[in-house]
Amino acid sequence: MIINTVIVFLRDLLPIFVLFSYLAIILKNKHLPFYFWIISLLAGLTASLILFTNVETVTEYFDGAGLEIILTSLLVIGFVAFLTVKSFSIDLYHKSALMKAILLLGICAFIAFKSTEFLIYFTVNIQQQDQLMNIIIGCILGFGICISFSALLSFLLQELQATRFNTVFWLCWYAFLAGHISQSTALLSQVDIVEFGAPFFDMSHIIQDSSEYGHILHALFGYESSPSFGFLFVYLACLFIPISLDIFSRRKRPLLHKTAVIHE
Amino acid sequence: VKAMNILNTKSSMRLASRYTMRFVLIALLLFMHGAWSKNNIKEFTLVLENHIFFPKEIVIPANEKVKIVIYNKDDIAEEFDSFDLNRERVIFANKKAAIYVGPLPEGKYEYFGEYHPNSARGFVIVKDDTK
Repeated sequence: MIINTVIVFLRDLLPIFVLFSYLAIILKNKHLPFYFWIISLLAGLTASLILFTNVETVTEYFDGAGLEIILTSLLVIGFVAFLTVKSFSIDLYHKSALMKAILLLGICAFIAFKSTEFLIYFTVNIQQQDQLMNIIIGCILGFGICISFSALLSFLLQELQATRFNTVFWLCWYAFLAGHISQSTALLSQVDIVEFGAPFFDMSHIIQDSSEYGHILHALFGYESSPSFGFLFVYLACLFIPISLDIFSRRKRPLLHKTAVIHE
Repeated sequence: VKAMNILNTKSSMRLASRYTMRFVLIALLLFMHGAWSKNNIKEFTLVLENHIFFPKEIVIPANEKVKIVIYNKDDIAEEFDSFDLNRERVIFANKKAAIYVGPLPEGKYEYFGEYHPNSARGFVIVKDDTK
């Protein structure tokens, strides 16, 4: 049970730690106060508690596909919000209040998506008194792994951003976002809202989804050992669109800079 | 410079909306295809009782989408989880849930109950009927 709890922790909560590592570096120059991060975390936890308490009712909606539709909506909200935040972070004009509101919405959606299933797991197992100690130990271990992993990741990302490998940093960020939005394909196809066909290829002989590496790669880039055509399509589209917009906005930036100088 | 700036912003917005429109159109086509193919889907049943799935193995046809209905007869929730099938769905206490799998190539796909992985385990066996 300890190992199972650690794995569930890695699967559900590690992406939240990874997200905060990225956001802390992307918005480093925006000097967001510490209490903003605390408020976003608390708002996210409140959102996930609201979803968790109503999860049984929500599941019944849309002919039994309610939860999948809600979770997909949360993923889309998070994806759009984080892309918008990126565009604000490179903009020379300060749009702090709007940026904070969008960022808060994105964080809420992402935390609610990731932690609802963990809360279900936690409440189901907490009912079994004999497993309580193992669950608590598993949670402590999982939390420790997530904290140390995100600390190391923050260090690596900071180095990437500060050096000439800045492009790699943004590629990793877009891959992280694309990986998570692509999870919506599995959610929607399991309730038959869309059909994405058979697995396109199989890499499970290299890295299995159920292995520790599989979980970590999944949290970082949305790794799937046997992705369907639909998954690949959504993944590549969500990776390609922000990259192309980024290239386009970089071409535009010298002009913006010139405008700012004239204003001054 | 201001005019150039506005023009650049407009063309950037146009580019973004063009990509978004294409993406939405393809998603809509996939959605319609999914809705159209909902009929004539074979249905299979799994029952969870005392944290054990019955039957342990279900045989489904290859290269065909099927519906698996899972009944949870236990008093606590369970999550049907399968890395092989890329499916995970919570089934609440004394409730049922349906998941769609496939089309899949021939093979043996493992599934388990996330909350009781030691007892709640089984396989979905995909066989080609035409062979």
